[in-house]
Amino acid sequence: MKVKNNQTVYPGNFSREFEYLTEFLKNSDKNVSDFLDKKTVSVIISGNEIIGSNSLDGVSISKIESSEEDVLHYRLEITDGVVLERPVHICTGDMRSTGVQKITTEIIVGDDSKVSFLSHCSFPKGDGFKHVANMMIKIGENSMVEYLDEHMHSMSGGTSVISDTKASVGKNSQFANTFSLSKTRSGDLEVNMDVEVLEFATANMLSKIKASQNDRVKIHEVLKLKGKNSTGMAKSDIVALDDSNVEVYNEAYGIGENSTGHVDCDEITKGNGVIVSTVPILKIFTDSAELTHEASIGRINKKQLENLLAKGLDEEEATDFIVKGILK
Amino acid sequence: MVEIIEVRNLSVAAEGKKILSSISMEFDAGKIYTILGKNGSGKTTFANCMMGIQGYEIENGGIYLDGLEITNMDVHERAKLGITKFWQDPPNYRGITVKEYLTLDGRIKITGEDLKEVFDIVGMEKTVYENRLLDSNLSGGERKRIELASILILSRDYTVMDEPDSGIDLMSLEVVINALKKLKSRGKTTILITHREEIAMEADFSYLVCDGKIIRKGSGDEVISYYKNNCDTCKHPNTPDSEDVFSAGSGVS
Repeated sequence: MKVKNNQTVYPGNFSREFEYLTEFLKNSDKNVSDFLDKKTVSVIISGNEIIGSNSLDGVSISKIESSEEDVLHYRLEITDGVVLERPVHICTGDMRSTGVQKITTEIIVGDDSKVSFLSHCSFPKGDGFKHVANMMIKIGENSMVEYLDEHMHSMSGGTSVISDTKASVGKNSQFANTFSLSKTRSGDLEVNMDVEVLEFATANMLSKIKASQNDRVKIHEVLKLKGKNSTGMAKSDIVALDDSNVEVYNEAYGIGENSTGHVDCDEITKGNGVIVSTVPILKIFTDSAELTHEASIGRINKKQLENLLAKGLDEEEATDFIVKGILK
Repeated sequence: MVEIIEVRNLSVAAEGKKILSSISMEFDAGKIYTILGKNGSGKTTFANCMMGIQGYEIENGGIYLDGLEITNMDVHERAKLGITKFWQDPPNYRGITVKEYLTLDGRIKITGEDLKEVFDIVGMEKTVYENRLLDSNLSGGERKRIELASILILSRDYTVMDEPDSGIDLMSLEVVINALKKLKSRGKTTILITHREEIAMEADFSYLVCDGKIIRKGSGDEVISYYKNNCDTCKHPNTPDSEDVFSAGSGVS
């Protein structure tokens, strides 16, 4: 089935997801009405269905039959030379407290294109709910792609998310990916990113995550610098509070001549029950490649905290203030 | 409005070492006080104890705010009573803009006009700085000016400033002096730790500290004059010779 192109298809039963998103973003700089504007390419997913979409010239959104039951599989394809002024908005929601949502997404960006994606994933009522996302991103040559994936999970911690992304960045292209989960509980979260970078291309991956109470988080970022003069960075900014458990694995492989990469993990902790770890792996396959890493794990800076306490904030407010900045 | 802070016979140690020895001071509302002394004399310890910063052992004496003992109160409780502190090296904050910091993420309501006035006092251009990140890309001097702006916006009854003038140029000294005058004009009190004569001269009253003891007190110009003539050339800094200093005319009685 091909979702209609250049035409808005909103059956009208997506209101719950958008109501939640509107409420969630009301104090942000985002204008939710822009997401429904006809000038914005958008996909709205509820459960395992695309319940609304809008596309423009040069963009196609297709549903693909999946051999696996209860899996939504779709492709979003951007042809050569397309420059989108507004971010493509992908709204993925599921308002159930239990159940499983499985989504397979293929994003194909042609040559000489420039596009950004803004993805909101909302599972606010999860209490034994599981979301499994598999994404494949293929970027052609001389293109620029930015993907911001913002998650909102339930405050009970009962949402479980596995997000697997494989991306290929074509010659002379740029790719920036940010995964952000900082405003709600994480629940059980596993984020796997595997990016191959071809010649003269660049890829930057950033994860910004807050884990609290008994949340369990595992981040695994792999940067394969395959092309000559390819560059990349895998960075994780983590705030781990209370009794949370966070594991971060950042890997970089310098395969192409003169490839350069950097992996970086900052983990800020607060709470006697916190367990965090960071494991960098660097490996080069040519002596002209250069890889570096930085990692730090430590408590919230005492001086920053005391300075805010002296201005009248209490410890919880001061911590939130500092964490908000780190994860912004 | 707090009328007076009294420090009564305060003795403080850190990691087993005595730093302040039975010091007594009074700070009335609406005045500028300076605390002078060589490096290592106990000035920063005093500032931290006034704010309730952890890491010190109060061996004796106490701090009283309008008669209410605050010696064992934590930083937040003291802040709620009207005391705040300017750190010698104010911390940076990743991802926080100058405006978010100054308004404590919107908790303090301030008009654009009033914010501009504060920026003007500290010698900064509002439009250039309000949306800049408060991170390590700012210089130490810029960071100190922003902290002065924060102190002016908070406008607490008592501000303890730990060397806001260190490492800044003469032009910036004027900025510090203007901020002090502004606070005083609002009836607020500043307790200022400084080495700078230009700023000490602005004080209504000064204390000179050596080896954790007050060895001189009096008007700003009197104490700075004594400090210049004696402490600058002292061969035994922070080990005062009791005959030399305690017998001085306007010294501790």
